[in-house]
Amino acid sequence: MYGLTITQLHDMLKNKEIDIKTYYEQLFSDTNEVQQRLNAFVTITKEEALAKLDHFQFDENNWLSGIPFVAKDNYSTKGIKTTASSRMLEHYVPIYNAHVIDKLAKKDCIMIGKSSMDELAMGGTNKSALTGPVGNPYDATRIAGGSSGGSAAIVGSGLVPFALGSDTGDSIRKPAGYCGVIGFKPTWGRISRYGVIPYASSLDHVGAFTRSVEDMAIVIEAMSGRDERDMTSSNRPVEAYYDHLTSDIQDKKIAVIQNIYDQISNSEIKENFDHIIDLYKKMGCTVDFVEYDETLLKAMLPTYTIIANSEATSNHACLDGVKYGTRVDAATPDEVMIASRTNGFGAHIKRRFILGNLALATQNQEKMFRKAQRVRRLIVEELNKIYENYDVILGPTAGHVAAKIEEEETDRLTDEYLILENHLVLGNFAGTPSLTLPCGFVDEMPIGINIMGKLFEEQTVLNAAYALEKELGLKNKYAKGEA
Amino acid sequence: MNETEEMLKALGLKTMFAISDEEMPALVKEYEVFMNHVEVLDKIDTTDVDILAFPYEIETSFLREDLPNHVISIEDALKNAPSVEDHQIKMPKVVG
Repeated sequence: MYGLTITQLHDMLKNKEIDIKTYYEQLFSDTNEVQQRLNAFVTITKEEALAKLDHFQFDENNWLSGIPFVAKDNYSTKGIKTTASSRMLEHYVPIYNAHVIDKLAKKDCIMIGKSSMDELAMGGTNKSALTGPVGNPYDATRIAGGSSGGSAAIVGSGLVPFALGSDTGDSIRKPAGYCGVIGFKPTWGRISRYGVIPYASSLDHVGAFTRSVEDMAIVIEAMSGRDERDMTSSNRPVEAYYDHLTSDIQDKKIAVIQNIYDQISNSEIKENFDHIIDLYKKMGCTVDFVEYDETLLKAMLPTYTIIANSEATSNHACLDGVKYGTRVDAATPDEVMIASRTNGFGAHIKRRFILGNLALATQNQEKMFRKAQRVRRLIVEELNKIYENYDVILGPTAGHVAAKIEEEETDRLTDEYLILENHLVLGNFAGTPSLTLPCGFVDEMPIGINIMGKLFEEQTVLNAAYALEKELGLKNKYAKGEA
Repeated sequence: MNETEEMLKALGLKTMFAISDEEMPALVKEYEVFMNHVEVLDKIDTTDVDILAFPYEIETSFLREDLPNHVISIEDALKNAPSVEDHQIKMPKVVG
């Protein structure tokens, strides 16, 4: 039963075309198949899911009633291992649920597993996961992207209609593009982050993957809202995103940042992007190219690296094998912590923590961490100038298709990398809602387009995506592999 | 071991990591990229620019009432501690 969307499965249950227990039996058999092919799960929660079905009663007025989903393994799940794909948390079993997990449980969603991710959500390939790399559903020898690679791959395989992710730099939107699914991180503060293992708190967002914009509207609406346990969550009322979906986006004003567009070197991706601009114009939108200060564009990755590493090293100082975490015994308390942390983290995590500590050191803090926070303000102010005249900003999700798993990391100081491969972080600096939608195929691999709106204008972003999804005819695409 | 390597080794220990000789070349390479990033920012004029610590001004500007809620039991609090004795986390002795 691959490839069912939330609305399709809901209607099948409502019309009694399918028995829910039979569906879940098949689903877990398919889950094993997907796991064998893509290595996308850390934990499969079959027992817990089937126990929920024993008391389940379908509610035809609730779109999410009985709908299966997968959570990235940094969402705390009470009584269920939550590793964040790190050796340090290999055996960690939370004693509470993340707010979002509770919200979805109240909607009678059924979690079927926890998905693989880059260790502690730091990475863009999913190759740093403790359980090994995750395969792309369209070609298992390629990466799914990261850090939410497991969730993206599972939704892209057609197994479940939605999965949860988190996004600090582009960790939902990049893997969504690589795996041919929709990835959306709403406004910073729209959804509570309580119980989601942090990376860098001032940049961390939570969000989801789906295969239709309708499904995304349903899921995001269910996840959103104020939570007293997350002081950064917003009091603003949650809109009825699904009810207000419309493909009538006439007169909307769309900006394309010229200097990002100019960095697209892949001719097919550029052609596809131009085609999308034409489609929006045909729908009655205005599409203009706008300039963005090039120096600030090139400062995106430096600013991100310094802020993210600094916040991460501070957030994860608690992972020391004392209160929790994998402990390595030693002679003194300090040696226990050093041995546990040295053993518990991958080499790249250690490097990031050490350099974050460098930027936070008293003698460097103003020159490095504070400087990055000041440049962040300039970057956000430059972005907000565009929003004075435009409703959304359109950009490519990436300049290439998903790389081969064995491929080496690219040079991180080229203009193409600094600008084209990192511009999605603008949405994290500014906290704006940002959605990636599948928009075509290059070399038989999916590519994505990104739509970024103004703060708390999730509906505008969803509608722009909804209209484009209809034009492109790529709703509910998935790759389940050879039978 | 050169000066940079010594500095990084010491910084590693402050971050509670023992960096091995095998890990050092990759750390030095990452440090060079990091310092390149610092240089890029250094060239941007931020005179009179305030820091931006969050994406926008956050709305919560009050403290909640100091009432206990979401209380966890001692057993739960200690559930993930690797070594526990008499309701306390057990660590090696600090003094003999």
